[in-house]
Amino acid sequence: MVLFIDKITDKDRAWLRSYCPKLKIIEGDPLIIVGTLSFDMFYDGNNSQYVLNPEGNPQPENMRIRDEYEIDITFKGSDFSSLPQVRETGGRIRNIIEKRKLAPKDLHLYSESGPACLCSPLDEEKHLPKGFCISDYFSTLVIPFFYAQSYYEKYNKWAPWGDYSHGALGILESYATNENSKTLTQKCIQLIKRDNKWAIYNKLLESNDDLKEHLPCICGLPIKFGYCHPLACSGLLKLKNDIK
Amino acid sequence: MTPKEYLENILKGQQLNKKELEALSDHREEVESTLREKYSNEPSIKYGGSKAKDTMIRESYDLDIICYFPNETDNSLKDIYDGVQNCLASKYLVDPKTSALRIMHIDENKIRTDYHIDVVPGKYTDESKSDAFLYLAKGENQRIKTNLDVHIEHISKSGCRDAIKLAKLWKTRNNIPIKTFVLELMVIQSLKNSQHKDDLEMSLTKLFNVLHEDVIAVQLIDPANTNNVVSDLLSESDRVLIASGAQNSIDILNSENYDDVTKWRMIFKDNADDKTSLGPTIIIKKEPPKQWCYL
Repeated sequence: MVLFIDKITDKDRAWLRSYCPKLKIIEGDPLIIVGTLSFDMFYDGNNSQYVLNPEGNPQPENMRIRDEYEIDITFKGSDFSSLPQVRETGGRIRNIIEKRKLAPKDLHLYSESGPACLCSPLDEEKHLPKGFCISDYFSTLVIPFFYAQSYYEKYNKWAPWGDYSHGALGILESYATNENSKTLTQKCIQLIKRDNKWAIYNKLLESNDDLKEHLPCICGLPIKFGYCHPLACSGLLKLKNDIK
Repeated sequence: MTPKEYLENILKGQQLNKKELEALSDHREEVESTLREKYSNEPSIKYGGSKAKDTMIRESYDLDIICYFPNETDNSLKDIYDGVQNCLASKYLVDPKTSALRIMHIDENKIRTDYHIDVVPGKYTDESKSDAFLYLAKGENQRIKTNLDVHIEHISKSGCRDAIKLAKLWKTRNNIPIKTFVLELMVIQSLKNSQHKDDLEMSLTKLFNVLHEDVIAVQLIDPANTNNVVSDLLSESDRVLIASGAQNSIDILNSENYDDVTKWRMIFKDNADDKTSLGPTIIIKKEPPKQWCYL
């Protein structure tokens, strides 16, 4: 996959100095940003928005999280994403995984030592509409990811804006919420092809029959697809229509 | 301001205000009346934990209530634990822990908050109503002996109450994975031979050094039960994180780039005068991204 960028601009550096003063840029190939990420974020679910470094005391108080993580960002894409890879290096997330007997994927990590899955690969351009820039990357992807980790640590559940299912089901869920584009359709198929249930998806996509919502769910639970993973079911329907 | 004044000020800021204390008292009364409805005057119900030991800090506190039955009761420890659980579950969302029954707090936005009430059922070992057995719902042993009065006295006699409160605040603000009871014992052990326990700056510095050097192998015994090795509650990874947290604080204290008060501010993550360091407010008028992961 192609990286959005492999260098950062003076504007990016100024933003980092202002918003993440405890992070350092280490020039090299790949470029690395390392240090302490401090954030102060308030999630305003009523207005579907969030605020970084809010003034005053926004309510409800428990939706505001101020926290810090030791992190390491390598400007190198991964198998699934063209974004720089973020890892938490202080061991906090690993500790939660061990203590609460979770799998790394439950906290949206590819493995115990990271990297983090910041968003669905299909949503990357939606969240970075102007292309890659440090300010958007941190404020729309990195900080919300760590907010969600702190929220989980505190309340034992994922952040209130929710998360996608793992694997191809999550890809279909994000496909359902994205606008049509040929590139996105191709990317979606490429990603689903990597799922070990690709044969099932392929059969459903190639079949001339309409996709029935009362099919047993692909996740394996004995529940109808449309009830068990309704958004993924819509995504698969949309994908089937789009590739016709 | 001197470091001494700074530490005394943050300590002062950690006192619960009248309204918060009244809320605690109301919660205790409510839980007690729920238990009394079923058990009448049979159990002794009183404050436990930091409220009883007077080590509560405003920034992170829970309410612990002990509910000990007399030794003469016919019920087994498990019956007591299950009975109290059923009684509480009729009214609250209860999360059973190893020896406590946790009543979860749900705020008006239906969000589970981190404030909770732990009710600890137990049975006195004899008529003196001092030692008590607690049921252990998990692990190899079925019961553990404890004594709240001994724990309270251990802290009172230590002369380390203020250092304990500051150590708890340090743990909270730096996300140090150490159980409060273990930290309390660690503070007392660290300052055992100190002649300057009221010197908070010196006491905390000593604590950080002990945590950094000794926490990996430390053995701490419950003062109320010599068979209870409290330090076993620390996993290896916890010990590493605690030592590393202490090292960070030592590094700040040893740094030559800041004045002494600023160093303590940094150790306590006190950004009150440092708001601009995190940049101006940004409002992002959309939902944050839903996270995803490949299987």
